[in-house]
Amino acid sequence: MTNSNSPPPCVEIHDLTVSYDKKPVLWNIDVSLPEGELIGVIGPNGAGKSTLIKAVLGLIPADSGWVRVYGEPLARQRRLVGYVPQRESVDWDFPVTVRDVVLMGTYGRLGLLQRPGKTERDLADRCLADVGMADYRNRQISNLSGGQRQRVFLARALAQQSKVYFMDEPFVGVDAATESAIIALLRTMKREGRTVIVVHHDLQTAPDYFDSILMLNMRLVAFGPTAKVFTPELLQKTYGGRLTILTEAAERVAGTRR
Amino acid sequence: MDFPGVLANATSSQFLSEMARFWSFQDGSVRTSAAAMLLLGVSCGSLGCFVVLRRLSLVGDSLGHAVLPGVCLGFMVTWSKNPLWLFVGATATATIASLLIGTIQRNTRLKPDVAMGLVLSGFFGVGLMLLSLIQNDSRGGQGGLNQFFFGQAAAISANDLMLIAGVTAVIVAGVVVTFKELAVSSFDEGFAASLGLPTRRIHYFLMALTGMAIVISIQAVGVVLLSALLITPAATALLLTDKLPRMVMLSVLFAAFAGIVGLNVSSLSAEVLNGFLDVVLTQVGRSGLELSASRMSTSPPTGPVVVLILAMTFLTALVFSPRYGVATKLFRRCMRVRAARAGMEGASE
Repeated sequence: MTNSNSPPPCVEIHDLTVSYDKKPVLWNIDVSLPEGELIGVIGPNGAGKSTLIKAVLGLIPADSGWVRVYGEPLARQRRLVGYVPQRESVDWDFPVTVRDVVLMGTYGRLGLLQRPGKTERDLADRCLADVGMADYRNRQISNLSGGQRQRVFLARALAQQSKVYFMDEPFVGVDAATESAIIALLRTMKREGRTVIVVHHDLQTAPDYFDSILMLNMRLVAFGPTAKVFTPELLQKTYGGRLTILTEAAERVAGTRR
Repeated sequence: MDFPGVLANATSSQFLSEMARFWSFQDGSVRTSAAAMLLLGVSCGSLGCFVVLRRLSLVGDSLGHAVLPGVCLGFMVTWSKNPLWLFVGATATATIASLLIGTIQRNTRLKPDVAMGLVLSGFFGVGLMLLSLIQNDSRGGQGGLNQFFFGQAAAISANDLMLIAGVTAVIVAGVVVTFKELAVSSFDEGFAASLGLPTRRIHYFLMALTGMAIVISIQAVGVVLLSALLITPAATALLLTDKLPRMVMLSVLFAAFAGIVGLNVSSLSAEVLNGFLDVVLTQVGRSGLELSASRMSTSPPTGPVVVLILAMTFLTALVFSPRYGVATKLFRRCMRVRAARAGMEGASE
């Protein structure tokens, strides 16, 4: 396609300000996220990473600003957007099986009174196979480990068949096998042309995992290709004093190894 | 003859004839109240599942107590138990109470349980004041409003039943149509909202249905023990299954069962119940414990009997549930220990 004006960005956030109890948590976030990339959102605790995702998805009200997905307001593009909340946000003793949870991913497409049928169940089973949980489909969810629960949430997101995904800390508290399974899955999703925005806390792995990085500390510190923005100066700016301690410790460890 | 397992002959035959009379449903009033208990089981049993899963049990209790002043005010409109006015009054105060709970939570630093505790006791206090006002009034003394305390299912009229049936139809339709939405928003509210579901409206919809279920249950189980009909059957069902639709069905079954059996027990005459009491007291007396022999002068109210039956089904599930029962777990541990021991012996040989 040779279009003179470039297509609208996948997600466009304009002047987004969010506050809790009149205390601002996010200030004037203004950024356009390109399509087809794995994008990491990093920043210290309390930087508003989860808040950003929730505000973009309209789960918490914003004081000002707007969000567009493929050029349209989110309310009209819900089906293009998938969401993986934090694992601890739900009650894992809820009386549902693994497959029931995955089927919830299809609810956005079903109307009132419409129940998931064979098409949806087959899709759910395929999504479970994609995350290596096919054998667990009839298990009650309370018997799962942390890593398995995360995979179930990912399978539910896959069942949404969306184009843009927002994932809140999917790598927290999972075993090494699950971590590599998740990153393999994210890369497959990218190859399929989907965009995945991931809240991430581990600076060691961030440059390996993500094409672009969004640095956040209540304000947008930087956004761009990982090679360009993942620099000591910008990390310092994002994490403030806390990072110096981290890097010094890392250098010391590197020094003793030598 | 003092064989304790057997009732005195006269009482025994009276017991059998009263049971036969109840379960043949030949009396119109028995049919009416049994149908009412069945419908209430459907309403409270199904909604109770979502109330329990959303951790709103205390909300059910608060609303249950908050309807008392409304019932009293509704009564004072016509000075009779006109079901429509009682319904209007109860719905009004239940709505005010739930709005008040929300306002306190949002505008103060008080936590939800505190807000509910405050509103529950405050509204109940007002209700008690109004009730004593009514009972001291010449027009209200014989109005039978005190039945609203502990419930008297036998007093359910044909008009009451019509109202109960209509409201139950609304509740069943509401739960069936929005089952999927109720399920996903109860499990993961954030995800449900990201799908574009109106989670806040779903919450208020569920609260409105629950309020309606509470209002129609007052006559049968009374304001004091109302929340038990919502919470206990759902809690029992949750111990027995890992599937939400099955949980709802089991909960409805337990609520209806307890309702009808409770109605049966509370319909037995005082003589029969005193006969049973005699047997128990004789047994207790033999064990050397002296109890002052109290006797019933009238049949017991329905509410406590229903709650007692619900509590017994819950205890049974708690102990014997195939997956989560206390006895089951103990049994499984014994089997494991035995298997491990057998394995060790096998290895040493």
